[in-house]
Amino acid sequence: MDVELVVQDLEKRFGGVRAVDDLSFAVRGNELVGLIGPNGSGKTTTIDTICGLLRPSGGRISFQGRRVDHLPPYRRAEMGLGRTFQVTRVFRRMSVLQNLMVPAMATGETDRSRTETRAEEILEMLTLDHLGSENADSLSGGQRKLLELGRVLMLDPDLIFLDEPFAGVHPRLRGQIHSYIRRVHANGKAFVIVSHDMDSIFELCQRVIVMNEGRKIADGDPEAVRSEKAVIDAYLGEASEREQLEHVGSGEGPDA
Amino acid sequence: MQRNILALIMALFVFCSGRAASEEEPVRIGVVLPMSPPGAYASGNPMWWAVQQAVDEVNARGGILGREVEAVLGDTRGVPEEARAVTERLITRDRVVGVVGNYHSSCALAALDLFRDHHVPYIAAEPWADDVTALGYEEVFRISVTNSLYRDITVDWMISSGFESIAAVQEITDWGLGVNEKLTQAWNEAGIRNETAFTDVKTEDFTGTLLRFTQWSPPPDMLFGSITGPGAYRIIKQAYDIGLAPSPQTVFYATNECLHPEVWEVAGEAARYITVTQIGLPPFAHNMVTRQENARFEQEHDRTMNATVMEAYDSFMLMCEAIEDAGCAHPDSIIRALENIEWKGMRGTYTFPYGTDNPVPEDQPDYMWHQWPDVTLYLFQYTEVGQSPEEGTVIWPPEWSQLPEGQYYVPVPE
Amino acid sequence: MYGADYLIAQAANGLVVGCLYALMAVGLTLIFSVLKVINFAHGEFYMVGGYTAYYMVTVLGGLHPLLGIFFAMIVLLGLGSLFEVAFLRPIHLGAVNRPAEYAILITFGLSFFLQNLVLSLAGPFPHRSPSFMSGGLTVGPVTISADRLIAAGLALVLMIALMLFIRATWTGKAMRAVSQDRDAAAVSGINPFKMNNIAFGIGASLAGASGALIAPIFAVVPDVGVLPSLRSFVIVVLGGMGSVKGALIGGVAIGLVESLGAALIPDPSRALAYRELYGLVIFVLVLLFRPQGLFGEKQ
Repeated sequence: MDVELVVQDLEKRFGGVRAVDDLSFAVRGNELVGLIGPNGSGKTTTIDTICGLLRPSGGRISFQGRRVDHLPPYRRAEMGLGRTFQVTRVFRRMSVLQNLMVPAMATGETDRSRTETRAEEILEMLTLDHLGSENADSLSGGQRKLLELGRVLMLDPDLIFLDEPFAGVHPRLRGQIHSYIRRVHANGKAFVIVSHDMDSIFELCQRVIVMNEGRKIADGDPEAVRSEKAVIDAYLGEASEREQLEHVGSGEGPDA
Repeated sequence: MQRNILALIMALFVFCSGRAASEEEPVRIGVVLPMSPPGAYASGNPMWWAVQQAVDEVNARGGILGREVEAVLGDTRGVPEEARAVTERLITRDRVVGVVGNYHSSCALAALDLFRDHHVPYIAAEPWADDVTALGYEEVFRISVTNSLYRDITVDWMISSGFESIAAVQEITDWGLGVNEKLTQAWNEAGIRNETAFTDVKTEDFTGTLLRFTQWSPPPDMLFGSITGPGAYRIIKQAYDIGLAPSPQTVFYATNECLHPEVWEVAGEAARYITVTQIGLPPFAHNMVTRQENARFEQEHDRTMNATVMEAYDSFMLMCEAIEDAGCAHPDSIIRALENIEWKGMRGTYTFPYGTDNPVPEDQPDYMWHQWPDVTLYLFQYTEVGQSPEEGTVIWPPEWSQLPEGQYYVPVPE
Repeated sequence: MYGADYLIAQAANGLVVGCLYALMAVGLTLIFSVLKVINFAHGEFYMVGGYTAYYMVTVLGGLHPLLGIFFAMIVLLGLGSLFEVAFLRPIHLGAVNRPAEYAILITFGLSFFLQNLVLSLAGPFPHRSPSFMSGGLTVGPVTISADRLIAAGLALVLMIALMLFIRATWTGKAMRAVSQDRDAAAVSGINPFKMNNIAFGIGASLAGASGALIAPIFAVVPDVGVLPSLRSFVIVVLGGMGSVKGALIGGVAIGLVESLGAALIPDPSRALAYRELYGLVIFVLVLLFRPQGLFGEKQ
C-alpha cells in the first residue's frame, strides 16, 4: 500500500526549546498507528505541525506524494488530512448537525440534502442522532469527543489524527469509540492516535511510535516497543505519569 | 590647530552670509485656524482662503518692508491643547512676527499667554469670549464682537420683539456656555421665561428635546438653535419637521453658521424665515473694499465671504498694514502701530483707541482693551429659499432695518 | 407631567433612530466576531458611504437615492476587502509582533486618513443627499418623516438579510465556524482568510449603507462618523461582542433609551446633554454585571 504521510527530520522550536527534534516517520494508507510518550514529549506539537497550525522550524512533511509543509491547514484538510483536538474544539454556538456541515464546504459538496443525509448517517453511527438540533454547547465532554470525530469524518479524510480521543470519556463510551475507529479503519482510512490510554493503544494499534523530549525513541510492533529499554526509562522517569495513566477518565489532562 | 582656526573662520563666514541671506527672507505671519476635525473646519477653510487672497494682493503690490509676505498656517483642529502647541511652533520654530486668526474662543484663550510671554502681536479674528481682550495683554487685539456686545445687541432685539418665552438648544463648548450664561442672565433680567437644553455639538438628532418644547403651552415665542457646525442646519430641519419652528408662533433664531449656503442644501425649505446674525455690515453699508474683495473671492471659490471670512482677511491685512506702518518687524513697533492704526478694511475702518497710552476708562468694560469699538452686527431673516445672506431682509438694529417701523421680524405666514 | 401621546412620539423616534444605530453596530460586531479586531475606522466607512451615495445621486449619475445606497455598499465592500488584504491579513498570518496594538493603530490610522482625505477631496462643507421621499407619515400623535421611516425600514431589511445569510448559506456557516474557533475551522477545511475578507467587506459595506441612509437625514461632513462610531462600540459591548442579534437589539435599545431619557429626565437643561451618557451608563452597568453583554458568551 502507498505511503501517505512522510515526516522527515521534522523540527519545531519555541525559542530555545526543541519541542520536536529530528523526527522522522511515515504512515502508510490504512495503517493504525499509536503515538505515545510522557507529558511534554511533543506529541501534540507534532500533530499541530503536520496539520499546519504550527510552522515547522525544519524538516519536511509530504502527504500523498506532495510536500505540504508550506500549505495552510485548510489546504491540507482538503487533501485529506483530518484531526481532532486534545481539548475538544467544537463550534459551541452551532447545533450538532451544523457542526458536521462545516467541513462539507471543503469537500466541494454543495448539495445541501446530500450533505445533511451524510451528516445524519454519521450522527446515527455515533449515536448522537437524537442530539442533532441541540447546541454543541450543551453536550457532555464525551459527546463532544464523538462530535469532533464525526466532524473529522465529514471531511472524508484519508489520514486522521486523533489527539487523546479517550481522555475524559466514560469507559463504556471508550469501547464504543474503539469500534468506530475499527469500522472507519476497515473502510480504508489511516489513523494516528495520540493517547495516554495504553490499553486502548495496545488493543487498537498495529504499530506504536514512542516520543520523549521531542525525539522518537521507539517505533514498531506494540509488543516489541513495550519491552524496549528506552521506553521503560522514559516512563519510569515520570512515575507520576504512570499514576496519571491509571486515573485517566477524570478530565482532559494537560499535555505539550 | 591652524586647520581648526581656518574651519572656525569658514564657519563664521557661512553663518554671516546666512544671516545676510535671511534679510531677504519673507516676512512671516502666523495664521491659526481650525482646518480639520474635530474643529469648525467648515469655517476655518474659507477663512484660510481669504488669508491667501490677502497674501496674493500684498505680494502683488510689492510685499511689506520691501519683502515678500508669507502666511504660515497652523491647524488648531479646534482643540485648545493643539492650538497652544501649534501657536508655540509658529512663534519659536517659524519665527513669525505676528499671529492672526482663531475661530474657537477656547483655542485663543489656551494660547493667549504665549503671545504675552514671547511678546508677539496677535489679532483675534473671530473668538468672542470677553477674556481674550479683557485680560489686557499688551500683544492682543481683537476685531470680532465679544459675547457681551453680542448679548447687548441681540437681547435688545428680543425685548423689542416682545418675546415672552424662549426655548434654547445650546452646544456645550466654551463659546456656547459663555454666550448662554450671558443670555440667560439678560433674559431673566428682562423677565423672559426661558429654558436651555444643553447638548453635545456633534449631536445628530435633536428631535427628542425639540419634542419636549412642543409640550409648551403656549408655544415658545423664539427657539434659539445655538449650535455650530452641521448640527446648526440639522436642528432647523428637525424643528421644522415636527412643526415647532420656524412657525407662525415661534421665531427660529440660528447661529451664524447659517451664513453658509449649505444651510439650503441641508435644511432646505425649513430654513426659510430663520433669523441669523452677521458680524459685519449689511450689504447696503458695504464699502469699496468689501465689494471688490468679495467679488474676487466669489470668482475663485464660488461663494461669497461671510463676516467670519472677512474677519480673517481683515485681520491679516491689518497685521501687514501695521508692520508697514511700523517700518520694521519689531514687536514693540508693530504693537505701537496697531494702537495708532486707522485702516479701512472689508468690515469698516479699524481703530484700537484703548491701549497703552489711553487706558480703558472706568465706565467702559474691560474687554474694550485693544478691541475694535465700532464692531457691529446685524440680524436678518431669509425670506426665500436659496437666498444669500445679502439678499435676506435686515431686521435689526432699527437704523438698518428694512421692516416697517415697529415691526421686528418677518412672521411666518399661517 | 407628560401625556401618553408625547411618550409615544418619543418612543417612535427612538425606535426609528435605533434601527439606524443598530445597522452600523451590526457591521462592527460582525468584523469583531470573525477577525477579533475592533475596527476603529468604522465611523469613517459610514462617512464614506454617505459621501458615495451623495455623489452618485447628485453629481455623477443622478441616480435614484435608493440606488445610491446600493452603490455605497458596493464601494465599501471593495474598500473593506482591499484594506483587509493589505493591512489586516498580516495579523492573521502571524507576521505582526503585537497584533492587538497593531490592529488598533492601523484601523485608527485609516480613520484619520479617510477623514482628512475626504476633507481635502469633498471640501469642508456639509452635503445632504436628496430625500428618498418627501413628506412624512402621521399615525395618531406620531409624525415621522418619510426619509427616516424608509431609512429605518431598509436598515431592518439589511439586518434581517445578513442574519439569513449567516444562518442559511455555506459561507455564513463557515464564517460562524471561523468566529467560534479559527483553528478548528481551518483543520475542517475552511479558509479563514477568505472568511476574514468577506466579513470585513460585509461589515464595511453595512457601515456604508448606514452612512448612505442617514445622508438625506443628517447630511454628511468629513467627521460625521465620530459619534456614531463611539455609539456603535457601546452597542456592541451591550449586545455582546460578536453577537449580531445582540447588536440589533442593543442598537434599538440605545435608540429608545436616548430618546426616552431626553424625554423624561426632569431637568430639561440636562436631558439632552446626558443623551450620550445614558448609553454610557448602560455600558458601565453591563460591564459590571454582565461583562459578556446581553447575548455574548462568557470567555
